[in-house]
Amino acid sequence: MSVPGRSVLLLAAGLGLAAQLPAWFILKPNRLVNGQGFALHGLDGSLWWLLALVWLAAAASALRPRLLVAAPALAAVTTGLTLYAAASGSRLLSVGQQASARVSLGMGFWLALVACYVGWFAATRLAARRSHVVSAALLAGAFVLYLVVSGQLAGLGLVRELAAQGADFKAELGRHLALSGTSLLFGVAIGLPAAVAAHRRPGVATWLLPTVAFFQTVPSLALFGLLLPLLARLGQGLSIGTTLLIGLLLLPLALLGRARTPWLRIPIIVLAALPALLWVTVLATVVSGLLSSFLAGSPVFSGAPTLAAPLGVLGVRGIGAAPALIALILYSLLPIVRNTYEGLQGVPAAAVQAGRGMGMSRRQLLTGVELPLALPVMVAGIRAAAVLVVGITTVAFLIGAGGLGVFIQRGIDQVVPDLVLLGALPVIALALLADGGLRALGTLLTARPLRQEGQSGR
Amino acid sequence: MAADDQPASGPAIRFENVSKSYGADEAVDDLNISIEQGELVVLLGPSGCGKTTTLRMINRLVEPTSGTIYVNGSDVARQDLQSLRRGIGYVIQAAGLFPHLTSEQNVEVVPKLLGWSKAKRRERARELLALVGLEPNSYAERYPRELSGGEQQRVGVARALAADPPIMLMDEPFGAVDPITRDRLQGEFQDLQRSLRKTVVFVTHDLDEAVRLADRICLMKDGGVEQFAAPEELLSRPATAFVEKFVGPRRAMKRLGRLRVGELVRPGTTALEHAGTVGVDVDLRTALAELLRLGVTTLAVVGTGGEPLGELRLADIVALGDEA
Repeated sequence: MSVPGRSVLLLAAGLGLAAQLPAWFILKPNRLVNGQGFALHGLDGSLWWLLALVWLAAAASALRPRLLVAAPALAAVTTGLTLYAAASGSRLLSVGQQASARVSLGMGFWLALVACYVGWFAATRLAARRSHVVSAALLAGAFVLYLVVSGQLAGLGLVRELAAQGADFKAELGRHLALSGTSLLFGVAIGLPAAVAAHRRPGVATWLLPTVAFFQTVPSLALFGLLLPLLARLGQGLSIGTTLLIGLLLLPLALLGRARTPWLRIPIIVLAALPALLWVTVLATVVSGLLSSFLAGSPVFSGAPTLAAPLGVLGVRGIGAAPALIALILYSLLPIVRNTYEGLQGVPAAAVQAGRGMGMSRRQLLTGVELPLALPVMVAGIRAAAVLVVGITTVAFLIGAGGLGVFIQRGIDQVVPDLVLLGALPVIALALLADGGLRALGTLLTARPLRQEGQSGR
Repeated sequence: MAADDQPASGPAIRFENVSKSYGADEAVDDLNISIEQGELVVLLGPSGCGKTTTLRMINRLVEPTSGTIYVNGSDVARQDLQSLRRGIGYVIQAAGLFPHLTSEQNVEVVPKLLGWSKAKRRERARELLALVGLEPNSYAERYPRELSGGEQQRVGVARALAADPPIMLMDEPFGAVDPITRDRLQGEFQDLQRSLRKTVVFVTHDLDEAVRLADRICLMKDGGVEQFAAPEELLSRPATAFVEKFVGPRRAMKRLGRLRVGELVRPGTTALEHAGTVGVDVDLRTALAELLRLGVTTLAVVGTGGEPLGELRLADIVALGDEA
């Protein structure tokens, strides 16, 4: 362990106490003009004292090893209090103000939120049991949910913007989830077999790893620009029926590729690559369309998907989800392929040799020995890809694919910081949730003796 | 396959003109040896002599460049790779246990591949853990990282024995443990082999280990066999200059380690006349040390129950040296 949990907790306490000084709220006569800052102690003195005391308690417990187990409880209390203070302060400030007046959150609050995050980080390291952190997080989450649902935060400019965007927010959040989720799914579906192939054949590794690394160096905007005319043509020129036919052609090619004729392999891979790419694009677009119609209520198809209809009907167009998905899948490949490959390469040679010597087939060796042992490193790669994809999806609105970036752009256009936050905060939350969720899933799937390495592996 | 049904007579493993080359490098050169049923053969030699390659050609982890290897009379190249390997126990250095499986699950690997029922696998695994001296109730659920090097190696042996294969291949199995543990593992393995009577091919570069365990030693150099003989013969009548150099100047002492007091005991005298006693089962090297420690020329020999059997004379031990 590089950083002891105690010093992390101390850092959280320091940040939390520092956050007590700057302005927590900014009161503006309307959403556009500059406002006046208010510190928390000027608005709700008792709450200010309470928060300060809890942070002091956190600092004290960091210095007393016996009290360290209280870290999860402290994280939960500080998080709850910080958000409650935001609710209470904004309510107090909006009393007697005109309807156009806005309360934005200031430096102090954001600093306090960062302190809370660092506090949770410390808690995961210091807790006597994992379940303590989980139950503390559930309690804090329930309280925050209560604050949101009961309308206690309604006075905040952020929440007012949310209310104003309403249905839009739900739709863009759904699109964001659909785009990120689909790309991650396809990234894993393509990346894992690719990494296994690279592991088995050093020849594949020599070109595959640099290739996926290269994808990541292409700026997303440039990729959109390059894909736009290509996909626009495909969407108009290729019918659904033709695409299906091309897909049928892939099957015999794949079977030929399995044949043990080395000199045929390369031409077959080249021959199969283009139709395979086409199919990945079409499938990803359809899956994302279905997901986003489920989550966002947007229509799946822009017409009747008959055999003669162009691919554009399915959503494969120059603008929209298709180019965004291609870019996102390409970006997700590097962490997934690299980590899976490294994980497989890191499997102890003695274990592999013993497995072979005992008569395991290649498949049994892969599923029974290599993948379980590579899993912690593999999951770390998928987590990194998830965070990456959720973040990059934010720029997908540039190509007309929607997503939470829409609000950031709107906020910038209208010079409304709260609207920018409405786009940015959920992206951060989604990234953290995806990372945490995948970590938990990974730990669940990992054999007990391998778990500790997986947690610090990154 | 009719060949598999042949009775277990004739050699268990036979190499016929087997060669293996890596490019211009000849790892094994025209090997012709036979290993009998129930025999423990040690492949001995300096690193790079081709002993491990020879071992791995038996379960086809390495395919020979030319020649044929027969296991129980049938050509291994014609057998199904997986079922061939599942029928041969395999132990490697540092055990090669699967770190994500418990000791019990590790032992169950081959039975699972063979499709045994869960209950049968479990029973067999626990039986084998007990056989190699690991109390199943406290060891079954432990992961390899929770075991000492010696314990891991025991699990490795238990795993190789799991499906009761007639043949065991052991590639420097005790090479990665400390000398005291190695000594104990060797002793336990000797006892185990005495009761199980497997055909064992055992690779080591340690002459002492070979002399202690082997029924026959196949001393190799540069891919060829220098001498294939019982340890006593290898030590007393080295076939080539290389063998003589390999077994070294202390080979007489090593040979004494193979022989028991019982082989030199002279009947007659009683314990009272002697400064010390020695058990009939003790090896002659230990007996000689005892003679030197006491500064005497004779010791009383007693049986396992302590009954007097006769005496051991220093002169008889010295006379053994003349044969060498």
